Amino acid sequence: MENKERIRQERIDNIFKAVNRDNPKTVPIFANTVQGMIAYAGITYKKALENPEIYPTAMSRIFDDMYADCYQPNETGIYPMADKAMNNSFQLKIGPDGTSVEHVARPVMYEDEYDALEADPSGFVKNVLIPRMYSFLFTEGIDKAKKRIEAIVEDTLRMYELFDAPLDERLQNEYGLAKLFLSGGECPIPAPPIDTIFDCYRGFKGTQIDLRRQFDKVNAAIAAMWESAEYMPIENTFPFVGSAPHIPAYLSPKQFEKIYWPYYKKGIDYLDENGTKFVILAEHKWLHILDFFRDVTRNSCVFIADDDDVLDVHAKIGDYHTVAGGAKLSKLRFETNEQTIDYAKKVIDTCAPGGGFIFTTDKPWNSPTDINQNLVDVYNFAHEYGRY
Amino acid sequence: MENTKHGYSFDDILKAAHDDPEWKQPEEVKKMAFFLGDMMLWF
Repeated sequence: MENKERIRQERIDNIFKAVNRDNPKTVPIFANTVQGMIAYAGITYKKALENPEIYPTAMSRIFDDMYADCYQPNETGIYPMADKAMNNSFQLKIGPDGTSVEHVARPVMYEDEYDALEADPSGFVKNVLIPRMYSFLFTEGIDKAKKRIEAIVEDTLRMYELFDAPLDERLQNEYGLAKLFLSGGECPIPAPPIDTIFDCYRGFKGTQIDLRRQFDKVNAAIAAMWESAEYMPIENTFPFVGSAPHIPAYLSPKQFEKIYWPYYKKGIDYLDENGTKFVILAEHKWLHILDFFRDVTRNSCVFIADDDDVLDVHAKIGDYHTVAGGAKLSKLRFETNEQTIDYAKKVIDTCAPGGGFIFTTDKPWNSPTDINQNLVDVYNFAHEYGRY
Repeated sequence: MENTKHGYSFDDILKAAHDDPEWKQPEEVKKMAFFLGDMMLWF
């Protein structure tokens, strides 16, 4: 255990050196870990969630064969008992393959309700949106309703204690891996309010239409929502802080500048002032907005390239912030071993000199099909090849 | 804007859960009920 802790600390030191361009020894290798990795143990996520005793071992088995320095936090994201207590009405479900987690969003806010949202953001959620989504809570009597709330609290806690925490412990103590960034529940900075409108209130289509037809109303509601935003104290500089926003890719630079960047920048500045870094899972494509990130401190961010080619992200911002990539899940699935390793080699040769680069996949390992021999081999290759 | 159409609001439900003497949990757990807001719309 002591040896693993020493290894973990050395890996953390090397990660700091990489993101600060301060002579890292190796390219840090980031395992984009989510529930798909259970497939390496030959079982489904659904099955593993029925048995907390096998969960941490099964979820981490891939690291018996694959090298990594760090991983992303694993929140189960699934709350079976809470979902049952809420009449199976949760949007988060395990898909038909028994492992992939799906979020089938049901937008609950109407297009003409921005004035009400602006007038009282918290009250609007509690008194309009929640009753709309969970109407049964308000028609069955308060005694039944309170029991459902108790079940939600208990199940979120149960899933953390039985699954999330033991997996963290195993990855760190048995494999010496470092958790690269905090889980969503531990995040010390508030998300830009438009993320909440996009993810939870109006959905993809509704938000996109609103931004074109009633931008000023959206903007006013966002400002009102931000008034109650809170920053939590930062006690440690590591793990870093992570963000996986969904809407930036779909905003024009002009929209991003007005409704996203002011709020996002405040969070990045706050993290930088406290000595930690911001890891951004840049979902879909971000090339058109990356120049904004030259207005924050150099080396304060890490961009994990998603549908953008990491070589393009590096060309755009790699001199200023760390970029991460080198393996694409879709290519690992279909290309030859040689092709995937050639691409990784090209990315390391281009992006890694001088630091400011982390090797990883473009997307988290959500599905069993994301786990294959090419994935294991390219990670092991990147570690061997990525020595300075 | 309090929605008490059915005689009680969401805040009333949260308070009833927190104050429920049959809910055998420590205070810090019971307090978590009050943080259920936007999260209910993501679950």
